[in-house]
Amino acid sequence: MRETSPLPRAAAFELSRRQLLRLFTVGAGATALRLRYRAPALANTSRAVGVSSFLTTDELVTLDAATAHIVPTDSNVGARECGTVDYIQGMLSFMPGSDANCDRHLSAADLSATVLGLRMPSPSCRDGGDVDGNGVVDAADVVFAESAVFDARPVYAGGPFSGRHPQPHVLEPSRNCRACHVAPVQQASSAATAGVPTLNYYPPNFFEEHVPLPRLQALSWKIRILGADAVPEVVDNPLASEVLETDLRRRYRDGLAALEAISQQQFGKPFVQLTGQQQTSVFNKADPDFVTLLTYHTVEGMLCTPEYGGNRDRLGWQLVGFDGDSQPLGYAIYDESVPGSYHERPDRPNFGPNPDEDCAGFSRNIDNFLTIVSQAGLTQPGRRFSNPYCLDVPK
Amino acid sequence: MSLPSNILGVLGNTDLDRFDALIIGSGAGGSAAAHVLAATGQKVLVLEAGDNHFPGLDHPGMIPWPLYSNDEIKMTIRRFDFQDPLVEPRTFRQTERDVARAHPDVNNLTRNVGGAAVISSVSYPRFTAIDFRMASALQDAGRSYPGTSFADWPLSYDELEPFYAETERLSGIAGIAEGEGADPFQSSRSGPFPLPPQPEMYAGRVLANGATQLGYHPFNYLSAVNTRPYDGRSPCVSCGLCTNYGCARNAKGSPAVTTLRKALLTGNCQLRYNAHVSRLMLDSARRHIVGVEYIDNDGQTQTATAEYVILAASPIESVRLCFLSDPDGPSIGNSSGHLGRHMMFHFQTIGVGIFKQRLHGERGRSITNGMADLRGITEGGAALRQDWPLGGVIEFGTSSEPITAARESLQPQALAFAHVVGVSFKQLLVESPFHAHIAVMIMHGEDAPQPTNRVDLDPTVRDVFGLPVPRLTYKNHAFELDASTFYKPKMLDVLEAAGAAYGFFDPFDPSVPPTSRHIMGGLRMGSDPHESVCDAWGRFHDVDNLYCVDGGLFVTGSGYNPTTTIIALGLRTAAAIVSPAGPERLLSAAPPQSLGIHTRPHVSAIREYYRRGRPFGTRAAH
Repeated sequence: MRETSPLPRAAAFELSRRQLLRLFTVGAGATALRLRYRAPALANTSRAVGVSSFLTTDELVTLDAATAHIVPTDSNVGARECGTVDYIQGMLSFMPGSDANCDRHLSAADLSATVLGLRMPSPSCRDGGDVDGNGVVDAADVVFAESAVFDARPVYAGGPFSGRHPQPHVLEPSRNCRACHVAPVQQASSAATAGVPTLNYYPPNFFEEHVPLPRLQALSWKIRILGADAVPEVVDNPLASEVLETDLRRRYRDGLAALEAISQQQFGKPFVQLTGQQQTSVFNKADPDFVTLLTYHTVEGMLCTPEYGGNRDRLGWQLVGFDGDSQPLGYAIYDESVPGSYHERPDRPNFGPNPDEDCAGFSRNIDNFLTIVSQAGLTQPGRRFSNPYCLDVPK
Repeated sequence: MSLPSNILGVLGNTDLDRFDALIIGSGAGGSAAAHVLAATGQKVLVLEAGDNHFPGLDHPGMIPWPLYSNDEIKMTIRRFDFQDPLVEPRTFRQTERDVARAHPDVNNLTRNVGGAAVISSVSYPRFTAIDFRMASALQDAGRSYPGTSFADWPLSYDELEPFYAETERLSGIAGIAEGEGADPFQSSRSGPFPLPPQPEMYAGRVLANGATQLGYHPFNYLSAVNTRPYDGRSPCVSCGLCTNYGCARNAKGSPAVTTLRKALLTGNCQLRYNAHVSRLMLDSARRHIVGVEYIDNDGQTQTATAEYVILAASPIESVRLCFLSDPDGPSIGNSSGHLGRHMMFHFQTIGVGIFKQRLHGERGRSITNGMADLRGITEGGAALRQDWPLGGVIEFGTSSEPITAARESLQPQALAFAHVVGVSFKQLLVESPFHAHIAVMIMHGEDAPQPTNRVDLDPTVRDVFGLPVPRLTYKNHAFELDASTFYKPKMLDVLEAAGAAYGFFDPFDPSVPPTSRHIMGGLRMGSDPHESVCDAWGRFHDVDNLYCVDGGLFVTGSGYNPTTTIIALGLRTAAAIVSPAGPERLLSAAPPQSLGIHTRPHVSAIREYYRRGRPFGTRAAH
């Protein structure tokens, strides 16, 4: 593992020529940077212009291999194709307070504001830029802000709509929807909306916004990202150091380093070059807490709304047969003309199975597994029923 | 230490500075009280500990879109609204002999403008007639349960009925009052439900089909979810992500968009959010509250005063405030020694059916069907059913959240199990037996009140404000455990009749605190000051200007969802404050304001919210 120094808090702050230069580079390269990390090989893009992400390139390579081991790619997509690594990097990079200009977006402008020590005069944003919350805007804030501004995803994405689904027209006529825009024709004639009385008006994507954190949530997220030591107020709360999902930066730094150390020790190779069986053996030797954490975050990275960085192109949702957010269209569309009546989407009926579904059940080994689960001592009086059937589905 | 405090927190009439009423908590009970008081000209200050996710809620005209969305990471995984145990922990133990330990979820509720009902399934059935005289009923039947503290309520179902009807009108309850699809175990009503019944979702239909085959009486669940445009709010589109989610289109008639909003629009109400009340200030005689202290979003302590104070912080926090406020004395309202005792949570028995077909929990409302046949009472809620114990209403649900399902069902033990039979993690994710194929029966079993089940202050653990945290001591009684055992085979029969391939139950672990979110008792109401904390009108026996309007008042827990009763009691208490002679007369028969189709989404408020980078809606609404 390469030596890394993610949090050089002690670094003396001066607005050096180098830093200013970097700031300008950053501004110019912002569009390229928004592409973010796509595959390990591309991670160098952000390095090249000198922006410090939290996880380093080497760590990202290990993380990518580890998530791909948890949900591998086979005939279907796995964690890798879903961009799980982006989700985790986006989560670890977040720092409350890095939205220095308080516009609810993280951008290069926040970094400028932090580097220049700018504070917004607005009373609603009086601490913007003081990322670590020590009362002054200094070098440490710049370091935090750097990773946050370019890699962080929202802790809480905005609402109410993602803009992926149209307004049902019977409810909200277009002429009154000032925020809506006309979608391309091909979107309107997709299978999802065929036969449904919609106009092609899609609301804006509010999910791309950050919902700002009030004080308590900001403190809580500091504990999650930096650990209980960073928040002296919680000294009398044992949970702040016991809960698994705290101190995430340290857990990832240590956990990924440990995976590499075990790989080298056992097989003399980096983790990414091991076979699946060898990787399993490394996982079995690793800290089980870290493996659990990684498993949780892998699932989250695959199935989150895409605005959190994972679930790229909604591949994760497709894999598990989940349609994701559906507002404002939904599945039972109220018909104003006949009080109390609803339209259904033919491909996604609210009251029954999809038209193309069968009653075939599970593969044999899942059936074996469920038989054991339903008869296990813990779940008594569980049962395997003798005559299962499917309502409304032809056998 | 300072942190970004880019959130100012006032809604309603910001010009008000003298108040008649001060309400702690903007949830079901507090908002109901605020509505009645503001409508009758009282000047009301509401202090809410949580954040506001309804920007522009006080804006006259159309109700604006909220910040809620179909986003599982935000709402469920990262708990947008929930009280956060990293900064506000609670501790739990089973008995007085144990040492309580901090636990991440001691039946934590959300803290947000509008309270926990905002993200609930808004299942709003009433309690039944027998629930208000359960102690007498059990005694008459010769059933006794040592260690329990059953008592009759100091009011009857008939006394509460007008307030139930008003609750249903305000919240917009969809349901069927009689005939097929009605719940035959609900008690008599003075009128029909204001809204037509809900369209059923697939899993609900499947389980109702099974229940019908066995001769049970599944009913269209009573929910405050719009089935047509109502009170200026749009109808539900069955988006699927419902329980744990605030409604993205305000189709849920939760307190925020009904009672609270009405109060804010009167011009007589001011709501301060991110305002955490830390102390009630007593006068020297300990008979009168002179004001409260709260901690604002900057961590600064502020004070507020009013003629009278209404506690509506939900029972665990309301009880905690009473203990915190008089550390050197006997605690507020505790002359009887009953403060914090008789806590009830409903004992949930969760039967899981795995079906061969996908049941599509990702669409449909949260709960559209249920049955009360296993409640253990007779039709109309008139009497105890012979030979059957008291169970609870059963909600027919399913799983709508893939990440949560994966996290809960793919625990290391389950995965080790799966590995033995050659099932990979990915196969479980893709075939999804514990998510896409499940229908769930959730029984809200009545749990017996026990004086030993209580809330007090933990001696060592403190929250982020340095205040002692609530300590819950709770152990289930054989009363509810035996009932659960009795009803489990009957629930399995329903799953089998519905066509399930497998059926089992969520294992019960008494060492883990309950997570039912139905929190009742602790500030028990009663006529006898030696046996209760509050009187029949929710006023503290010990303090002349302090009231409670949350679930703390409950004497027994019934076996139905509690929110309707919390709201009805809140309306009733507030009505009694302003019209002691005849609180029922305050109820107006007029339909809700601005009935009509909600044709234009009010987008300007939320656009403003994002664009200006500060909260919108702090203007006074006169």
